[in-house]
Amino acid sequence: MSKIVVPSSIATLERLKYLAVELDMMEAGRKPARRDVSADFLLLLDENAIDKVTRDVLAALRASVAAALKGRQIVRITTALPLEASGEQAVAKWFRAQIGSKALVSFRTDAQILGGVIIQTPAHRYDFSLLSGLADGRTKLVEMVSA
Amino acid sequence: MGFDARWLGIIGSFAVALLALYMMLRERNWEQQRFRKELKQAVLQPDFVAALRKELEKDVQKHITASMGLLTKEVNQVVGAVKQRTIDGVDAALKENRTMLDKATQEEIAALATLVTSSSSTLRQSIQALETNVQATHAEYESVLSDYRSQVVERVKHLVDERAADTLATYLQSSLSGLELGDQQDLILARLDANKAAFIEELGHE
Repeated sequence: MSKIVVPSSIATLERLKYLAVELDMMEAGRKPARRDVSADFLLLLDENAIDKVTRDVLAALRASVAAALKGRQIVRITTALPLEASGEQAVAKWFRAQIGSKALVSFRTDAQILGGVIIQTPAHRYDFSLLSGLADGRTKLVEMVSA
Repeated sequence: MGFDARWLGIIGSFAVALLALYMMLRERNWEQQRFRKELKQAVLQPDFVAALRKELEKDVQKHITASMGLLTKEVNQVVGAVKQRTIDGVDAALKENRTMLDKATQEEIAALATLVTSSSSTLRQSIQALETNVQATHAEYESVLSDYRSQVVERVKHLVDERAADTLATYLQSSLSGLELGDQQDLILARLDANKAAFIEELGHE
């Protein structure tokens, strides 16, 4: 069997984790019916031209997904409302195009930020939220009143 | 007749002198012989020497015993005197120290009592002064705060009256600067593009 490649389109942390859990279940004998298998699993099979899923193939797939999860840099995107699937795909595509497969994107929501987005990389925090904007505006208003 | 008596006297005296001389020489002879005899006994008779030595040792022992008795008695008296003098000295020192300690304690107690009384009075005065100062400071603070509030309210009123539109517009502009109220996806992609160089620098590029 040639080396298994995890498709670059699966560029979010949540999808890779879900895929890893799914493979664990299959390896444990809880083989789902084909209609229940996730699109990512099918994508993984198609990408590597696998027609028959044996126990060895499952182990190899699981090892590849685990390797893809390991050592990747996580970029966390926080929004006030959940993004649509197309929005998540667009963001993941941006990172895949600009950074490559070294970065995994993770999405979460936090109503406290009111709007906008917060992008957290391993070393920096980019805050473009409405909450921080209001705080900045409030500071400027105080400065104007005090002037 | 007179002549005969004089000669008779002279002859008699002469005879007596001769007799005395003879007796003296004889006595000297006896002493020499006795000394020689004792010396001879001492040299030639060990028993005599041992007896003499024993006698001498007994005398010496007797003398030493008597002397030791006297000496012991004397020493005991001296020791007793020194002991008594020491006890008397210690008693006197203790008595003096006790007196001084009592005196010092009394003085200290008196000083402490005075100090407590004085400190209580001073403390009460300090507390009263402090309370007065706190009240004055609080009143001053309230006054300054009230003035400040008045000034701020006046300033805000002035701004609202004269520059309300500009102020609020600037505030909203500051708050919403760079934050378009449109599609979240577009906003995120725009921010990613704007900071692309920083992302690539940190995360690398394959």
